[in-house]
Amino acid sequence: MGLIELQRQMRQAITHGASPPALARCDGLAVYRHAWRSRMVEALRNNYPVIHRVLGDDAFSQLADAYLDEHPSHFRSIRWFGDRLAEFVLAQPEFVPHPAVADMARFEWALSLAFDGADGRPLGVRALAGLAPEQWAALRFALQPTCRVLALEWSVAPVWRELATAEDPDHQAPMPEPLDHSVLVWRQGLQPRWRSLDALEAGLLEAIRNGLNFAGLCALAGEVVGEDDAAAAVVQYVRQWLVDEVLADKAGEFIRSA
Amino acid sequence: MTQTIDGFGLGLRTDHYADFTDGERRAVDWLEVISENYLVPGGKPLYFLDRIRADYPMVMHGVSMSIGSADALDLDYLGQLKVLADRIEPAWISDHLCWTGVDHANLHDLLPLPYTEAALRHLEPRIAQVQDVLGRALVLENVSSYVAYAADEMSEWDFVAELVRRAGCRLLLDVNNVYVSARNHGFDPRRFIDAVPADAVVQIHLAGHEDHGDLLIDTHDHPIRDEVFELYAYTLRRIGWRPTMIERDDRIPPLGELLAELARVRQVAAAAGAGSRNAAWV
Repeated sequence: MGLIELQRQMRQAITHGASPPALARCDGLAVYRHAWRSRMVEALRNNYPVIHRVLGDDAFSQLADAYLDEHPSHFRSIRWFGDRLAEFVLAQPEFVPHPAVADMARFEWALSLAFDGADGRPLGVRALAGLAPEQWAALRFALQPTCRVLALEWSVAPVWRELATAEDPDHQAPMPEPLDHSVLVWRQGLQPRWRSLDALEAGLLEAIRNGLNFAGLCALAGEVVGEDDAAAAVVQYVRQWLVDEVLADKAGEFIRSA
Repeated sequence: MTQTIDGFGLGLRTDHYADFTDGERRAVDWLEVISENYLVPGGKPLYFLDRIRADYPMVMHGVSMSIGSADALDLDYLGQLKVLADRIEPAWISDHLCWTGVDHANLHDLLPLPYTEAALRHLEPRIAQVQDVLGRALVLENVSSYVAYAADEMSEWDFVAELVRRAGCRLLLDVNNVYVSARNHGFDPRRFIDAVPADAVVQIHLAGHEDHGDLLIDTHDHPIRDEVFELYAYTLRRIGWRPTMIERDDRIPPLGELLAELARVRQVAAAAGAGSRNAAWV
C-alpha cells in the first residue's frame, strides 16, 4: 500500500470509524478518534464561548459534530476552525434553539477576528487640527484594518455581553429580540470593542470603505439630517471615531490626499 | 542575530504572559513558542511575543508542517513560518516527524508514519525543500504513537537515524515520547536512545503523560513522571548535555510550579554529569 492510501484509510478510520490500514497494534486507534473529535469541539468552543453557553454542552457538541462533518478543517492553524458556523446554522437551523444564534455566531466570530486582526496606526486627533477649511472637502479617511460593520437582525450583542461577563456558569439570559441594526466591531489598542450604530453612522463607515471623500460623506448625511446640518453631523461622527481609534493613519496617505 | 540557546527552557503559554512581562527575570533560560499561535495578522499574540522576545531567547516549534503527508507541502504556510522567523530570530525551527492530514483536510494531530523505505524516500526531498525555503536546517521531533502499522519495515529508531543521514535534518528528542511509544509498542526505550544520532540532537523535550497500564497517552497535562526523568538522565549520559525544556499544554499550573519542576530537571541533569553546557547547535 502506498503512503497516500495508508493515510486516507487512517483519516477515514479516525474521522468516520472506517477500517484502518493493517495495524500491528490497533487498540490505540480509539485514542486518535477521541482526541480528534474532542480537540475539534474544544477549538470551536474556544472560538464561540458564548454560543457554547447559549446551547450548553450537549447541544453544542451535537452542533460541533455536525459542523465538523460538513466543514472538516483545511486550516494549518486550528485557530481558524469554525469560520463558517453562522452560515452553517442558517442552513441547518435544527441544531440551534433560536434563529438569533446565527447572528450571535457572526458577532462572536467578528470579535475573534478583531482580537488578532492586523495592527494599524490610529489617526490622531491632531491630524485634523491643522487643516484649512478648504482642505476638508477632498479629505479621504481610512478605516482601521479590524473595523467591520455587521448588519444584524437580532439584538444579540447585549445578550452576548451579559453571558460573556456572567460569573455564574449557569447564568440565564433573555432571548434576543428581533431588531434590524448595525454593529461596529473593531480593536482599540489590544482590546476588541463593539457598539451599535445608527443607520447614518453605518452608512458613513461603509462610504469611507468605498473611498468617498468628506464632501461625499456630507452629501450622504444631508439626505438624513438636511444639507445645512450635514457637515456638522459628519464632523460629530469623525470626532467619535478619532476617540475610538476607528480611523487609520495610513502612512501619511491621509495628509497627502488632504 | 541568530542566537544560540543553552540551559533550561519552557513552552510559552498565554497563561504566563503576565509573568514574563512584569519586569522580573524568571529562572528560565529560553522559551519555545508554538509557531501557529503567532501566524496571525496582529493584536495580542504578536504584541506579547515581541515583548517577551526582547527578554528571552526563543525557538519556534510548529504542529502543522505535516512533513510526512502525501499532500504537497504548503508553501504558503512555509512562507508564513519564514516571516515569523525573520521577526523573532529563533535559534531553530522545529516540527514533528509525522503527518497531520491528507487530501488537504487537517486532523490537527501528530499521526505516525509507517517506518518504510518508501516513507524515507518521500521525506528526503520534502525536508530539503523546507530547509531551502527556511534557509536553515529543519529540526524534527519524534512523536508518541498509539498504533503501529503492519507495513513497518524497520524500527522507529532506525528510521530516524536513516532519515537524519539522508536528509541532514536535526532532531528534537522528546524523551517522554520515546518512553510512551516504548511502553505502547513493547520496546526498551534505551534502545531508541542508544541508536539516536547524537550529533543531530539539538534539543530535548520533557512532559507528563497518562499511564493507563497497557496504554500510555501523551497528554502534556501532568508533571513529568519519575520513569521519564530516569530515561532523561540515561539520555544525557549517552549523548551529553542538550538544551532541555518542559512542555505543558493542558491543566497549565502557575509559572512557579513549572519553574519548580524545571529546577528538578536541572538537578537531574547535574546528577547525570551534564555539567558542560556548550550549545550543541550554532
